[in-house]
Amino acid sequence: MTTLNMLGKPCPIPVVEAKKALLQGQDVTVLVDNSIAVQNLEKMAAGLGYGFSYEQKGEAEYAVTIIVKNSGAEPASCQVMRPEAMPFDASSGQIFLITGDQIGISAEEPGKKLMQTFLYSLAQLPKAPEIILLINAGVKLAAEGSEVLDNLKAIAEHGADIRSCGQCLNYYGLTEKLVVGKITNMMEIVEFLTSSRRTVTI
Amino acid sequence: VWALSWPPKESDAASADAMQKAVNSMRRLNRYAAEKMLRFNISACTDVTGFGLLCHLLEMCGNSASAEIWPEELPIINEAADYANDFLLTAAAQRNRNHFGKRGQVDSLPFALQELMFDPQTSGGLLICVDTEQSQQLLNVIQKDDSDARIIGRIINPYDHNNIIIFGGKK
Repeated sequence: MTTLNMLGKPCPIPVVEAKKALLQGQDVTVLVDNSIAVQNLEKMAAGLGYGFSYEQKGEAEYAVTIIVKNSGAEPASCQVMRPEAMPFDASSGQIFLITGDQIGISAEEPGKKLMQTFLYSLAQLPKAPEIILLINAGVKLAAEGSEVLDNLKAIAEHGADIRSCGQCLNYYGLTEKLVVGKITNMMEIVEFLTSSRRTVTI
Repeated sequence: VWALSWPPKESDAASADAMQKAVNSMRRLNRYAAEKMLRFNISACTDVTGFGLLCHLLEMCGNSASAEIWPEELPIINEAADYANDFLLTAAAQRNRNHFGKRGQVDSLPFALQELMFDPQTSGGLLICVDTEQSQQLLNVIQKDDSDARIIGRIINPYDHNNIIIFGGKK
């Protein structure tokens, strides 16, 4: 359990810091000084499917506990609200789900070459897919040491929102080495894939 | 503007672009729309600022009218919805949500949309109530200078204290 002292820190800093720790798989206790921050932490926990509870320690001190692995029991104090965390479909577009650092599974060498050519070609298009999700070894493409960073950056510049799976980055030891795009999680990936966007799996 | 006052730290191209859209929106004067609306039958008008769209609308409805919002018509900056889904949430938006309470079926809407409608605006636009038969004409005139203007809903009767604001599709 990690404790984050967020007393005196305005929203959204407590949520941002708590989420960072949670995405690393750590349970957190967050100390905040107002009930609004408690509610914002609760929305985040509910949206990401984490267990939430809090305790008022003093007039201006609340200890909020968020557990990554929810045991399934309904947290007792989670009564304020339970917003649905579906992403708002501001514009319907295309999702590219990239599940590896090569295309196909037959042979590694041509597979990697194919992926490079694929991303190079995608970078040449004037309009990129709306969202590119990188999972499993696909996260290597967006991290230090990748040979396709320039192409991915160009694709991002053409409007793609590139997100890499946090758990996968962690597995490959690349969490601190992500160069292009943001970190995501399975909840968010599932929400994207079940939105009205079209999905292409590479 | 909506949820953009706290952009993510990665200053990637998308967020820089979103920031520019937000700055453009905040710099836009309400003066032109305000001058034009005077030629129409306006029953109410407010500039949407710190209380967000829903609480300003709630205030406008008072205890005499209800309103229907058409979420798909709301002009939003797409990245603002992404940031809301990343839980970059302000304290003021939560205070607005608490103030709004149970006076509308907000909880059934997508989370980002809820947040954006509660989000405080640094320099928001005008929320204007105009006679239905004049609404399209007023929109056309306003859009000459402000292309993002939209008809986002309608005032309905009767007044229902437990459901002052409802959500639906454009009729």
